[in-house]
Amino acid sequence: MNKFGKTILILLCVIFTAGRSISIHAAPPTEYEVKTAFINSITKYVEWPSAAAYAASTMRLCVIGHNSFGKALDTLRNKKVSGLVWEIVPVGSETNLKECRVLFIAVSESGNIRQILDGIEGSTVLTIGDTEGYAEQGVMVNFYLEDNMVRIEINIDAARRAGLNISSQLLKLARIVNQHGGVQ
Amino acid sequence: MKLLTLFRNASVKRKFIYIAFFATGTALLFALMMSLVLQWLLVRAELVETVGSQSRIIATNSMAALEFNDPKAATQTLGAMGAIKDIEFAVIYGRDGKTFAAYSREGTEAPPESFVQNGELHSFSAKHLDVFYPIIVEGERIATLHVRSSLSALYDKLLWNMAMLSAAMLAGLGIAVVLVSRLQTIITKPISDLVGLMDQVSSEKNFALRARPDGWDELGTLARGFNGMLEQIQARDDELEQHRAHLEQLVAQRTARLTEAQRIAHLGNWEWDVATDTSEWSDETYRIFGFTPQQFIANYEAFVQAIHPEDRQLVEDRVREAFELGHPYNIDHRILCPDGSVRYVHEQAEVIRNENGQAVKMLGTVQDISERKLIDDELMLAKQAADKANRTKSEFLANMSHEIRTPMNAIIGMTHLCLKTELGDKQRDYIEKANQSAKTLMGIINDILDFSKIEANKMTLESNDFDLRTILANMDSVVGHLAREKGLRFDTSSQADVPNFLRGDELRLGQVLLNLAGNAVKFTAEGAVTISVNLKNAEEKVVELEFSVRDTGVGLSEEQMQRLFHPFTQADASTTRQYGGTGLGLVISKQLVEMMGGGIWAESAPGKGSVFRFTARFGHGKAFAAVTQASVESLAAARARLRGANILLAEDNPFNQQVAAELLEETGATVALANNGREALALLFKERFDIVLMDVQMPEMDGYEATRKIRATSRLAGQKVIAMTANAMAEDRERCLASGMDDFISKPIDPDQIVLVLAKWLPDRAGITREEGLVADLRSGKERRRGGDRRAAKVRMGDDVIDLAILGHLVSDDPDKVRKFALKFLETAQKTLAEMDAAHTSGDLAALGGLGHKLKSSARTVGAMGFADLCQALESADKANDLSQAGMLLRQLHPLLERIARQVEQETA
Repeated sequence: MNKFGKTILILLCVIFTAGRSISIHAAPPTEYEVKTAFINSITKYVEWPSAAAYAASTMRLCVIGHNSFGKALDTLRNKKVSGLVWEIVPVGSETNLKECRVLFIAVSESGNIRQILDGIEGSTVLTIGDTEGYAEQGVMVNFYLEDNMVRIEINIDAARRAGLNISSQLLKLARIVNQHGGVQ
Repeated sequence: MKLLTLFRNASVKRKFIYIAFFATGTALLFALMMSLVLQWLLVRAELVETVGSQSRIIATNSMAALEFNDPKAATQTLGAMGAIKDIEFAVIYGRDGKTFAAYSREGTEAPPESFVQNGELHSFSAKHLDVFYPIIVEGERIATLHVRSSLSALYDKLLWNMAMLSAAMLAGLGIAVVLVSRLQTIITKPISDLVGLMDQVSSEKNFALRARPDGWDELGTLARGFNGMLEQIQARDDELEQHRAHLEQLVAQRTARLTEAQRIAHLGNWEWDVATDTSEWSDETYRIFGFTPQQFIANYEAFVQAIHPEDRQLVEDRVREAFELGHPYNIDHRILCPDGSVRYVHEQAEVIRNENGQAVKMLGTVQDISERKLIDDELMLAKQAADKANRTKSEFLANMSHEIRTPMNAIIGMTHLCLKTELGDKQRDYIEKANQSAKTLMGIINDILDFSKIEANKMTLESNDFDLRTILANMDSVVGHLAREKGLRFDTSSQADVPNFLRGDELRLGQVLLNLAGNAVKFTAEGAVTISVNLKNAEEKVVELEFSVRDTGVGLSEEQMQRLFHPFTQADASTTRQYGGTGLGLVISKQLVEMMGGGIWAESAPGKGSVFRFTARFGHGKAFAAVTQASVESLAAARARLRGANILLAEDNPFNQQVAAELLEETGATVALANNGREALALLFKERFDIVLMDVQMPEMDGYEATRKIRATSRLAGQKVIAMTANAMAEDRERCLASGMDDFISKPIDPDQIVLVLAKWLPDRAGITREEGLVADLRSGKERRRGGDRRAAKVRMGDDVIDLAILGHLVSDDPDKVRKFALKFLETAQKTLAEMDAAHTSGDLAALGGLGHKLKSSARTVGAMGFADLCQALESADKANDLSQAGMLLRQLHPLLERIARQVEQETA
């Protein structure tokens, strides 16, 4: 971990644990920082089937395409969610996508979206994106901005097809999108 | 306190109800309170649980909204709280403590904007319950849910519960009270039954009633115990009733007895209640006052009216004294009975007082003493008469003094003069004896008269100046001479400080000294007699002297000393025999000394001699030339007076006749003889006698009768009669005087006495001078002393059957005469004894007694006292009609006479 990342982590810790008096003076989180926190939270509301290709003890997040998070994702490193340790993996040529629990598809891959999704067809990978239209194309969770606030839309059919169970709590907060366009 | 008193006085039934009420009420109240407290706790816990679980659901449902920062969704979730109407608000505070989402019921207080975490999960205030539920994700508290619930519903519920419970409690209480008031009769009925029975028993006094006990519980036992008690009371009642009946009977019996006793004693009792002025009188009291209870109202006024008018004041005064002064009420007074008779009553009473000392009652007795009073009055009169007679007699005797002395002086003087003339031996002897007898007689008469004077309170003391030395000199010459002749030392001494010149009655002082000194010499055989005078006390006007007369004589026993100063006693009766004397000397001395302001006493022991002391008070006398001789009336004068007198001697005893006749003839008197009263009377009618000497006991006619006859005969008016009696007692003397005799002489005859007494009643024919009398007196004193000496000498011999000194005294110690008269006595006695034997043989006791009397007299004259006593016993045997006693005495007289004869032979040879 580099020096900067360390500083951010400490800062976050201070903000989250010390309460209001400190957070007043902290800078408001950036869009990707919010998206990182959202990714972390989303995993809590998703149930993966037990026998799968991915490692049982890690929460592997594969990022495909241009990584717009910058340092934000580093905040997840060594953090645990639901008992699993975050593992951030940039997707390379030899990366087996099926081994990833979460796959973030960057906006740069909007042309290849079909191929990527087809490539993981039949596997239990939770797909997340932040590009408009991704959800209609079959990405399970997609971020969008509304009144400068990061919002979530979910393609519930895609998730079901993959055998992932998304909690109703999350569903209640999200915009549900059908496979073939249109919002439910 | 009041409540407690109220409870105590309430009936048992009420007590039960009160107890049930309070016990049940307290239990229910406690239960209610417990129930409320428990409910409160329960409801609270329930509320906390309800609100808590609600909060948990909300929190869980809000978790995602918080994570994805979606307040809208959270608010929506919170809105679910609106379904619960107690919830006032629900707020979610984010990590920063700021409100994330809120729900607030309309019309309630708005929730606070921010939240301060204080760690509490929930807290109650008066109106709310606040629940703080932390929302934790992945071990991290991301928010807090604050829910506020109103408590009003809770309170409503509690209130409702309380109301319901209270109602239930009241109902329970009511039921309890009703039950107790129904059931208490089980307990209270037997008690109230018992109480009722008790009231009945005490109001009806019927102890035969019984309680009916139910069961064997405490109440049954109580009823049985009550019954047992009733039985005991009934039994005791019966017993008391029996006692009462018995007592009533006893009281009736006693009352009857008391009434009877009062009737017999004439003694009634009464009780007077002062406050109500009512009296209760016993039957006898009414009887004494002569009323019946019906006709008399016994109050104080009625009582006073019943008193004799003259005694009313006295009785009322006494009643007042009894009340006011507490004096005893003990009074004799008269009462006036309704029938007009007067009775004497004796009343005794006591005042009864209450605790304040106030008189409330008077209790007393009244006794009819009329009969006793009558006797008392008679006795009183008799005593007054007797006193008067006694006084008259004593006065008479006291007045005799002068009249006796005058003739005595004549006798003594005359015989004295006669002795100066030329006389034959026989004549001289006779005259000397007469002189001596006269002097002796004078002394005795003086004593008797002095004593009479003292008794009659006629004795007075003179007050003259005198010289004490003269008196002492006289003592030395008169008594001292006597003592020295007897071989005794005699001494008089006066202390230097004793004044010589005194003022008082020198004659009486001399008399006392003479008496004491004479006695001392008389009773002393050897040694000394001393007279000494000491000054005891000297004051301005008075001198007190103490005189002592000390002797070395026979002395006196304690008992003798005690009797010394009493009349008619000498040391003992035998002394009279041995030493003669009237026994009055010391009595007179005592009286005289006391009149002189002093006292007399003796100190002695038998065989140790005696000291007679007396004190006397005198005034200071003026100095004067001492007179050599005090003038005293003398025996000599008496003898002189007898000379030439014509005397009739009436005496039945020839021996005594001769002695007396010779004695009187010696004085120069003419003596005619008579053997009894009759002869004496016969002679008196024939011849005039100056004086009759009359023996009182004579045959045919005794002296008393003869004298009465003389007094009854006018021709013999003024005839002097002198009695001769063997008993010189006062009663004989009185008897003599009563029968009309002028005086008396005691037998055996004392020559001096007979001369003195006779001289007293004879006219002073010789005109004897005082000086001659004095000389005669001194001479006769000398002769007497000689005789006394002889007598004293004889005493020492003892075993004497005859004391010839007595005869010697009678005949002036003339040995020839002693022998002559002694032989004459023996001759007479022999003859009389023979007559006695004859009388005894014939059983003539009277004759025997008469002979005894005759011989007794003669025996006494010659001094055969033992023989005389036997003769007197013989005389008594006649009076007692005892012949055997007479015989026994007679047998003793014979040998005694023989012994007398032998002694006479020896002593007169």
